[in-house]
Amino acid sequence: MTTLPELITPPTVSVRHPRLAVFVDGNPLFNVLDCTVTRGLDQELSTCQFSVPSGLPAFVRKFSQITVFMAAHDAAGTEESFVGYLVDWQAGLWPGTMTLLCEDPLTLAKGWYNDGEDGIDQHGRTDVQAVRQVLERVGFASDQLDLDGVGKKLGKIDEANLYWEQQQSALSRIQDIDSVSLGYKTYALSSGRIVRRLITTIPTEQYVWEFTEGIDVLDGSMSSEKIDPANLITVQGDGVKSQQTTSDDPRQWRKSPYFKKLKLLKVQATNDDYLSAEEVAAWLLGRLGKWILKVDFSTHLDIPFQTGESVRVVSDHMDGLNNTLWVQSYSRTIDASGVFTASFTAVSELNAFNRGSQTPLVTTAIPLPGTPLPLPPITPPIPPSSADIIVDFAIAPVLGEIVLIADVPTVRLDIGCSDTSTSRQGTITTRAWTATGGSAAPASGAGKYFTFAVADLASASVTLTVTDSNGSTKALTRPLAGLASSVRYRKLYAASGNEARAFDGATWRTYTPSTAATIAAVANGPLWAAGTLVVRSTDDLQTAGLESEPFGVGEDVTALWTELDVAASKVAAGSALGRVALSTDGAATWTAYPGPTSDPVLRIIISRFVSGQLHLINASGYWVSDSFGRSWRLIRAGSFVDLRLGQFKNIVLTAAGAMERAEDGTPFTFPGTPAPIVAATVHIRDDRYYAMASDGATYGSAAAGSYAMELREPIPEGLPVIRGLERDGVLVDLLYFCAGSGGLFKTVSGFKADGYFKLAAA
Amino acid sequence: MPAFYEWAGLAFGPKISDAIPIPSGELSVTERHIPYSDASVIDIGGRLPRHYATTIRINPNDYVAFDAALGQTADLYLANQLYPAATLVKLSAPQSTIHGEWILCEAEWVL
Repeated sequence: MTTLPELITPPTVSVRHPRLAVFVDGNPLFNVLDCTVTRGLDQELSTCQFSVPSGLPAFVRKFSQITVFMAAHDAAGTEESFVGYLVDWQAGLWPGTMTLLCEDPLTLAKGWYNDGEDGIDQHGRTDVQAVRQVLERVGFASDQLDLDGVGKKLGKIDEANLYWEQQQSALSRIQDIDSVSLGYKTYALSSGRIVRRLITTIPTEQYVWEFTEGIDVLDGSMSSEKIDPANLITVQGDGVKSQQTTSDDPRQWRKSPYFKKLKLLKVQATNDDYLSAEEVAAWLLGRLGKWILKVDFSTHLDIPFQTGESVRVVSDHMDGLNNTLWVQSYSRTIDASGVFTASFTAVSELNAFNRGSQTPLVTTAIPLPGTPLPLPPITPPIPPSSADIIVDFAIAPVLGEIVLIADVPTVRLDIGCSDTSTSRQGTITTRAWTATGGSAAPASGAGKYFTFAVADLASASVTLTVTDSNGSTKALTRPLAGLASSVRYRKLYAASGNEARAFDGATWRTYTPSTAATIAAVANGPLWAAGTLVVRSTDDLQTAGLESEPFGVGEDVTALWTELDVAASKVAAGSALGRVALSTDGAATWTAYPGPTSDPVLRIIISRFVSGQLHLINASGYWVSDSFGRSWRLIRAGSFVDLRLGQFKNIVLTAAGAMERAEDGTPFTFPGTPAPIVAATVHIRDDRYYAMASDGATYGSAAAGSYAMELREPIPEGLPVIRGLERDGVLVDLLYFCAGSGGLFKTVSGFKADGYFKLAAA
Repeated sequence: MPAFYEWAGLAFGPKISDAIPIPSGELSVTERHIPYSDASVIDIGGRLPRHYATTIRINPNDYVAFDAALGQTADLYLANQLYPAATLVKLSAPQSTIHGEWILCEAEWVL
């Protein structure tokens, strides 16, 4: 008899918090409801579609550059899932959502027509040269293109009519060239870079991941089909002129225009440098009649693919499927409920067959089994090699900043790269980055992300070398000259003594509040707390600051917060007597409420995600309000000096100088005996953290997800101040910190060597 | 002290079965079972507006005012807990109790 415990085994449950972030021309787009990215070698362009509530910000325009980050696993880093352009949107009346439609950068070729008077001559060019000619006409810089191909000329004689005709789009022309290039296809990778690669469905020896029924396959279906059984194919030239006259007999084969075209193609194919009609026909015929195994399946796992990689699918219920297949198309979705799903169409030819075939009975009256047919031969799998690696990385919009080099204001441009490489039969294990030219600093790095600064884009380039789990290595170098048009300049808000300071991207300006009190807090926007006043500016202090008094006379403001990209009008303030005040008009008028205790508020944060939620720390504990400050619940008692909310963990700094997970007090560990930790912040993509000690020592997480911190380079001047560390929202490892009398600094490398730059003197 | 329920200055009460008001969470939780296994995946996500939908009882004298305020946004107190800026989006199926003490309605707020 079966006992109950045998029947009910403990279930395995994995809990995840899928993450989705969309940037439009480098600006974060808040409140994206859902998103689907689809890329496939069977589709013209990669597409991305996402929804937002009605009311698009003004910076969203047609052909804005869209960058999408999606991730399902808490522990995983996040790389670009899609880089492309916004091409259209649809607005719905109810429930008031807008759906934005985006396509990869080849969409520019879709909308670009040859507008010359004549067709553009492509005689004497190889397939690669012809595709490059088209893409460069569209406006792609040569360093954006990584094109491979047959390498043979398409045609020489004028009768071949190799022209990019008027009224033909660039994309259509590229597709024409690809269709006779023996399997090469031009497409865009997830970083937006355009490549041209050989597409084949022969299986590989190794694979990226084995998807197994009962472990990581949510649903699936399998089918096999024979591609167009045929034994004859006609290859046709490009509109060869026929001399046929009415007196000619059209049934006479020598007079046939098709015969003439074939003859012309054969004439030009006498030279090995030219792509011959026979080669194209043989390639096409070689594909026809093949058995293709096709598997559609979906999984909850988040493993990045570019398409073209190999996976293994094992499923007893799909007819004993146990095959290595090529990823033909791949889509990632985060739906409105936050559910992450990856869907695949994977195909393979000439796989080992589970089930054979037999001669069907067509004439025999008595139903007897037919004669079993021999199984078709199995193509040897492709062994691992460096050709497996699709090395690629994305570059974020460039951030320009004026830094002080030997006290001289100098422009430095921050470049943020993130690896999006995949290997068709393995996983990427190591990455090495090198930046050269343009006074690049730091000049090298390792890991998924690499941020560095250069003085000049024209002479700078960055190289990524990746190694996969099979030991294969491949490198990619990208010049940076083409990025000049994407440079943006940041605004900065700081304070020194009783002086509020604002930098509008070109000029620092100052304002001394009327109370002349020392600035106690600066919000992440043009807001400063000075004594009882909050100073605000709408023009980055080009005119005098505007002042308001949230708590009235005699009650100093000690904390200030706004989320400019969420709602610039909402501002929260905390007072020295523990009260909180809220403004919904950008700090012009305020409504004050009692705080959780009378201890001075040291940090107040408006939740980005939960409407009406505030987070607050003081000497009594960490508190949360779900009603915009009208009632509070204690999350954890303790004396805290700083609070940081993160996508993986919220962290607090205690008055004793420890760094802990906010909710449960799990301590972060530091090498040796560190001085008290006074400032900390959170990595923008990984489960990693940064910290600064009062003696100028700096720390970063030793590994993603770890509580162990490793020692980094000490700050070059001055000493850190409490709560004096901020992060950039787009570039990984770009941090801003106050160094007291040393001035205002940034690090582009997460406190690693060669990454420090001074922004302003104290 | 009895729990305090009020919306836009109008008092109302819960049905006894809804004595503990639990608005829907602002986060959605979706569980998916992996076929042919005892494993499940729970994805927590979404940023949905919180809803509170229940059957409420209203003083018959307040029913007209309640009905007129449909679609308006005001402070909502549920068992003493304040939800500022709650929008009444549904007030339907009014039914009088036998002796006419209360009107029972299906009500829904977006919090």
